[in-house]
Amino acid sequence: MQIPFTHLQGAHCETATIASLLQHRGLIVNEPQVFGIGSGFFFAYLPFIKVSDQKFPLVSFRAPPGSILKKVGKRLGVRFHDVTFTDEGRAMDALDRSLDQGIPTALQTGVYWLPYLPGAFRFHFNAHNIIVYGREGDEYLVSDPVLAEPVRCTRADLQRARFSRGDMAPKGRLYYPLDVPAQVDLKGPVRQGLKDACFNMLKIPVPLIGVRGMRRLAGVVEGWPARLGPEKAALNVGHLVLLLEEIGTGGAGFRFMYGAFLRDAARILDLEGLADASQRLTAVGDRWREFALLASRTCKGRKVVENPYGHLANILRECADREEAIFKDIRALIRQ
Amino acid sequence: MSIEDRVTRPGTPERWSRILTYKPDADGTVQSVRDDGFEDSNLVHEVAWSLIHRNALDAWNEAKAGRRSTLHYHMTANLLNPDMLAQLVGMWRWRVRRHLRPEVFAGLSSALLQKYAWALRLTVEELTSLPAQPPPAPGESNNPPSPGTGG
Repeated sequence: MQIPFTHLQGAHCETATIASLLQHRGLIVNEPQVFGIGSGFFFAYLPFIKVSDQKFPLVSFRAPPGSILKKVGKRLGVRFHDVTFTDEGRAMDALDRSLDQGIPTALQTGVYWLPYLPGAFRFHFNAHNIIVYGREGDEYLVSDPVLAEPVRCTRADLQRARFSRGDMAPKGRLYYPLDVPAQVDLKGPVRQGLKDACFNMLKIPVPLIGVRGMRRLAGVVEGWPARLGPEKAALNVGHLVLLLEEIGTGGAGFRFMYGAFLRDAARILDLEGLADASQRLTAVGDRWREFALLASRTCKGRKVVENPYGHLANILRECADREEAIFKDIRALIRQ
Repeated sequence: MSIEDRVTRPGTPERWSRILTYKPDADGTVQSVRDDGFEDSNLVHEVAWSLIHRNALDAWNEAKAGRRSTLHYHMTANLLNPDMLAQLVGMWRWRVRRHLRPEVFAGLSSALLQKYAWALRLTVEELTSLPAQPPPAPGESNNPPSPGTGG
């Protein structure tokens, strides 16, 4: 049994999954638009949440998993069926039932347990989104948005991935759109997405989120070698790069994706200023990339500049300043 | 948006073959591009994997010398810690920790062994033994030390 379905490769699993589910139902939005309308653009430095055995602080360059789906649904007027399970058998039955009804179904999975992914993908990360669009005997047909082609996965493997444990355990989560409006005027949703992103980056009154979070992180990075010693500091910087480059599409990648959204938004809202903001944000993305490059060399122990940590902190501050200016301009533009 | 396919450079990790990213082109407009990744994150991956492989090698030696149970090796080789393993098998962490001692592990019931084997996707024989060859040395591979699910 196979549902006719067009596989869509994306840069980030959550946005690409939503985009291809909506496209399947006839609502044509691309991945950057989903990212923008769902206000995925974000920054948070959360030192009290520790990641992995090494007790790294959590740095996030994107909105928390799940929030994009919720916001996109609300803003586009799409209702999603979104459930989790405690019983593994029931979770698999529910998947089979929705496939029988001809519904391509999105699943939250743990990447480590998906055997079709290349070995180097296999870290324990539990918020990976994939779409199942058919079943042949014991094998499911899977459209994994990070891969170029659709793949197959056995029932046992899929069940394991849906019930992997640990942080953000998927608990067999499954979702698909119920009602998709035939025609959506993107103007309102785009405006809402922009406004929300401005709020997140500029206005949240906690100094750990948005541009203020970047500045806070800059100060912390500067102090790492003195506080933690060279070895742990290097590992921490490496972890920062992994978060920056690997979780989803990475911090710089998200800047580029948002740049693509801003360009679309300029066309949809007919605001020339947003196209300018797109160019500027893309330039900041390049700066983030330089940050990642310098950080990874520092992590690897290559000496590139004197006082690399101070240099990294300065890049962070510069990115914060530039992003602050860009989002202030966007806010002024959409208020008109 | 045009999509440009690039040939993967020799020596780039397998995971990068044709990943989609958004990148600015010459005049600054963003396009989606399929490419082979960035030097920076590949560098960090090398560091991360060599750490993982060092841990796996240590665990293999420990188990070989009889200081730790084979469960400890298989847990480490699957990038798990006692916390996560405990969640997978539905036991308390202290109990899993205890099973990392070889003398305790040797006395486990077959039901418990079965549970661990299921959680780590191994057969009971594989769980109670070590691979004949030590895992690859740090820096030799960018894949998990355990073949596990065959990825």
